[in-house]
Amino acid sequence: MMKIWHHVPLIIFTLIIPGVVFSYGLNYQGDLTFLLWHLLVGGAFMGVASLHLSKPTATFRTVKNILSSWFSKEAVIFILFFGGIIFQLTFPELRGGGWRFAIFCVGLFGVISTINLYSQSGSIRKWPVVIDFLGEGVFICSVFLLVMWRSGVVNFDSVIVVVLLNLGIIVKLIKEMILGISQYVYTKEMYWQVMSWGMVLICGLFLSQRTFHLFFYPLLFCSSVLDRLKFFLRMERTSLQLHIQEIRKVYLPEKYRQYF
Amino acid sequence: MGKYYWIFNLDRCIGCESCVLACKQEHNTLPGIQYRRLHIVNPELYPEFPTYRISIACNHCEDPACLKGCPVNAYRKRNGIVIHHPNECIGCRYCLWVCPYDAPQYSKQKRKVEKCDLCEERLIRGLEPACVSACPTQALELVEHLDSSIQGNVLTSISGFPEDETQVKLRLKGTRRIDGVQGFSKRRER
Repeated sequence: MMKIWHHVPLIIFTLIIPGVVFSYGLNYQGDLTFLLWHLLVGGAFMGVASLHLSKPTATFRTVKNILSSWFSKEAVIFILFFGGIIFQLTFPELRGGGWRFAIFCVGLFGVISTINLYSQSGSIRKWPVVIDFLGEGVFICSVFLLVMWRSGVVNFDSVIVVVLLNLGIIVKLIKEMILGISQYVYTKEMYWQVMSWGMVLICGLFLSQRTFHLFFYPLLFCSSVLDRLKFFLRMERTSLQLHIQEIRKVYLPEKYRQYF
Repeated sequence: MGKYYWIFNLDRCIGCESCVLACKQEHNTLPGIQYRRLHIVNPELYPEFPTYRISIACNHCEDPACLKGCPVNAYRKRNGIVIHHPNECIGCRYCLWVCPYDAPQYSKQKRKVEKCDLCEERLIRGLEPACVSACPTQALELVEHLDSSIQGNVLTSISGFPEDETQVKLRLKGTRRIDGVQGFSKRRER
């Protein structure tokens, strides 16, 4: 259990913060409530992320190795991203399209830093991490949109909202299918999980929009959390252990493989 | 400036774990922390498949992934030795993920990472590292430079092992090779 609890701050961080960045870019409405909502949600989960350190009070020191460490780059870039939102809140003239695009690009580079940070582990392949993190980011963005829309933070025309919500679901479906079919998932169990989610989602497309959203969003969010937990548990397995297993697989004569 | 290389002889290692124990004793590490570990390939002793024991600690790489990845610069290189500074460490454990050889170890009690320092104090006093001096079969050696006589007999790349992205300073010796060229593949062809 200790192993799982240790990963919780990072699971939340890696799911929510890319979602905040994509939500800022895709659902943008430059009013005070929208910006404040993103700042508070993003800031709160940035704070939660520091809890995975042994010394959360020393989080500010993570910016020291910015030239070579993706961890430092990630910290600095997200500080810039949320700093940009604070500037937009303070100066209304900075809420225009150019500033929005610049701040979104900063956030996007932060997400790329996060992807680079986790894909450097020898126990995980790089490109599934890229697909996974970007896909989950777009999906969580649509979760935010649903929450903001229902609570009246955004006032989009309902057609745009439905299109954006379904975009999130479709991106998640495609992501799960790519990782599932190619079997580049992080654990064997995840292969069956993603395949069954794909089937459930296809069935769900025949339901009404309201039932679909209210029923599937909580389920899909739980699946995202579970996937990310398995991702971090895979990271716990060191690359050397995996390589030694690989040696056994390659060189062990066929007749002994049944014992594994 | 010294550049240390581990030389590990696969033929000589008998798996007694003296190196592991000597390292624990030298550094007085807490339970669960091992700077040096013994990995066994084919521990079940299946016939037709040789058993190898590979003793691995920090390889003090030329281009260490831990040093590049550490966000707080807790790792420094001194005389070819990668040194971890516990006072700088904030316990993010990122070095554990990026090191291909599992060298950094996280201590739950100290809430910090620890790793092999090549027994730097012993080296200053002119002694060998504890693991090297404890090895009864001289399977483990530490050399300052790879001269031509050593270079001719060691394996530079090891199939199935982590790719040498960090320019690792571990060289394996032995006739029973694990690179699938001389040992296993010929045996399997028969």
